[in-house]
Amino acid sequence: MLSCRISTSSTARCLLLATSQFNSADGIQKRQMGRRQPKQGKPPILPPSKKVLYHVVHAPWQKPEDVEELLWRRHAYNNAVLSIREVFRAELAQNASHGQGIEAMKEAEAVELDDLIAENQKRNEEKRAVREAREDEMTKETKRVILDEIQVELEKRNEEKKMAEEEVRRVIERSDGFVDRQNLETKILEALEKPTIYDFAIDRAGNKYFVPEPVKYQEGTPTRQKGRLYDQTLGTNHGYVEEAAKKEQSL
Amino acid sequence: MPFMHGSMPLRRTFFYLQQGKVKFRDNVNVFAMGFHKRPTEEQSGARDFVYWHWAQLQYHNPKVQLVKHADKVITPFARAYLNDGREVLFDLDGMKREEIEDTLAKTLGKTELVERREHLESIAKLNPADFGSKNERQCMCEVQGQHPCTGLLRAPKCMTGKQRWNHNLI
Repeated sequence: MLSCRISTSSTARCLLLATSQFNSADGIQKRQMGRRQPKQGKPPILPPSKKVLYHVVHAPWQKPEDVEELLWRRHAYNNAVLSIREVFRAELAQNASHGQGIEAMKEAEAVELDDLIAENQKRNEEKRAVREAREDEMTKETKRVILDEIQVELEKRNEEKKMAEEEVRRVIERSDGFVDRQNLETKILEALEKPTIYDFAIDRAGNKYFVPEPVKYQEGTPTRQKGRLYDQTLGTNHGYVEEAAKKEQSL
Repeated sequence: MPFMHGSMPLRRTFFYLQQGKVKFRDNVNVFAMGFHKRPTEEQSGARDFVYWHWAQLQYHNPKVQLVKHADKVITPFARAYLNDGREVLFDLDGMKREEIEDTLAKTLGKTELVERREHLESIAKLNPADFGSKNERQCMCEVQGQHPCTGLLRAPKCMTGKQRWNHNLI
């Protein structure tokens, strides 16, 4: 029933198609006109070559006794194959019944796989234990190193703290001579009496050459150009020389 | 060509691909491996295994999904997902690449039993009625009494698929 319906519907559709094509193109066949036309004189699909086409090898007729013999042999062979197949089938059935068939092998495989996985699991556990022990050891070692570093750092800081305290104490001691509001006038007078002059040349031995000779109070107009003042041969007495050795001795 | 220098091209030779030992059983669906790109001494075995044997794995196990996890976790590992939902984890810490290969081949590889069973199944699967390059016959025309291939002897028009009674109809 269903097939009938399908067939009727398909024929109806074909007819519809056919009528529409004929309607649109005034009865001219237009189907597959979009395909490229083959070049003239050269078919798109080459037929088999003359050598190959219609070349069927006809075996020569054999002698009737040979045919008979071959037929007999063929029957014998077919019978032998059938027998062997029967034997093999029986053997397979026997194996299956004795638990040596494919199904039994599959079961054995599953068991084998389970064993192997269990063995692997055991190996993993062992490795994990070993690794944990090793990591514990490493953690302890790291902890010890960190504690040592902390110890060293603390000692260093204590040392620095002591030095800073010592420095502060020294500064406090020195602060007696510092300038403040009370002793400002006195200090100014002292500085005027004992001026410190940095306008000197120095050689490698540490001798200081004051040219011109330092004076406590400036007299007259100070020299404007000082560029070539120190351009003199050392050792000639031009000004005041403060020798380094004497200074050390005095210190 | 810089690609042709060193051991890189060696790994991709057909001969080298054939030497792979690890042929997974049919149970294995997915095989994932975690390794490090800059490994320590304990981790270097997994990385070497990936370098040397990954292509072999791909060659011998075309139906297994192979996944690489680089620098994801500390310990190098391999994890196989079996078709029954089980997962098999391998701890590869401190193992050499040869050891890894042996372990994988022994645990998830095809054992003698599996190979024998598959051989027997392949024999049982042989059907003389099948045609093709993997079967006994390549083509129907090799069977006695059948029509030769149309490449040799053209078939009558009524038997070809192009046969139509009315070319104007459809």
